Amino acid sequence: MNGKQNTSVRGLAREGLWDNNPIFRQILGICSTLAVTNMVLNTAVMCAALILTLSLSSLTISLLRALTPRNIRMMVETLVIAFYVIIFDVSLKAWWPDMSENLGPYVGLIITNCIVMGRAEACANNQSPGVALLDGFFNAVGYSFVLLAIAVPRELLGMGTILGAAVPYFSGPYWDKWIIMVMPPGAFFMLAVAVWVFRSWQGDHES
Amino acid sequence: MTAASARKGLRDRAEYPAVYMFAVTLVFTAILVGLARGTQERVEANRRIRFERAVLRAAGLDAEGDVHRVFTERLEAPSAGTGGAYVYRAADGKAVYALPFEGQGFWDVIKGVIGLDADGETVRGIAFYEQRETPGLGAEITTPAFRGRFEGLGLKVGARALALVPAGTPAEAGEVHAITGATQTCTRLEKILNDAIAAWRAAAGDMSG
Repeated sequence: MNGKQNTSVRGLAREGLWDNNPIFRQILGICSTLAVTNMVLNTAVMCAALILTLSLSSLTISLLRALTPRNIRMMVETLVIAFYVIIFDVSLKAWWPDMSENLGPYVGLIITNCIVMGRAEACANNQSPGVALLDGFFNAVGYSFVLLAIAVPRELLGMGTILGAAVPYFSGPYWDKWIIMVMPPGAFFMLAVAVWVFRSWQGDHES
Repeated sequence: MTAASARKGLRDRAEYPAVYMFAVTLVFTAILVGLARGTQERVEANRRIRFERAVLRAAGLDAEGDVHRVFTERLEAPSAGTGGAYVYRAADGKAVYALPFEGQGFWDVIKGVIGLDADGETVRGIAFYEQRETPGLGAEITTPAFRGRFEGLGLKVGARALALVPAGTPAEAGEVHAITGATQTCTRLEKILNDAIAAWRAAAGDMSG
């Protein structure tokens, strides 16, 4: 982010989705990128959780920013983030128990996702609620599409399926499944490839 | 003194951050406690249904959507004579024992149910209702493809009733193909199942003897 932030909707979208994308530009939130990207469905739910959490926590932190003393602001931020994450986690347990089982502890770990805290510190702390909400939303969407771009090839090459549905050829006998793609090391390879591809496409803005 | 300066005065006081933090925590936590209380029954019921569905699947009954009714009507709760297993009496009068088991998996405890014929020599089915194995690898134990490998499996006598052998090798009696890439989960599952079956056979032996 170069000094003055562009706070128009278009400007915020461009920043969060592309110019300052949390994954391939800021390299934040990598832990969950590595952990939940071996099945597309799990990734999608994780992304939905992050979009909700990041948008709402940015909004709330921005609303409270005038009241919050500077020296305890990070405690307040963590509290607000944990609040929304727990709401999502409890809701999944109650209404979508199978998905809750699949994601295991990862939903709870959004609390420590660096993107959420990063946006709270960089934006929500000193911007109006509307700007904070949009900033959170676009950053989360920027995170989500990169995650899905990593998850789709991992599930396809590793298991021959997309969203659990068998893909012709990849699920057939001629495709030797790349088991490593669904194992943790596969995440490192795919993340590196994704960052490389997106950065090359973006061109080098830093000079 | 104007209202604004009075508010400023309040916020400058040394205890303000502590009071503020306390108030904010109180409000957010109260909402969460309310939500948790409100959904507690649902969460409990979901857990119960998961277990009941696993018992039905292990016994060879698939009752999607109507799990609780079928469970209460068709299954007998464990009694002193069943070694901890639920009993399902099929139409031909043969009993199937649905034996709940649990033990340490790779990441966390694996809980499931295995369906056994009365003689303890054939597996009817297997199902899991709690596990946290790696998605895509160890967690594949819950898929129909893996569970199907147990249906009709003949068990061996002795402490090692069954074995999980690498996929691609010929499976003999009492052997099931394991999941490639999930060796840790499969090795532990094999032990959990053998322990549970051995304990159940011992209890059943006591009953007949």
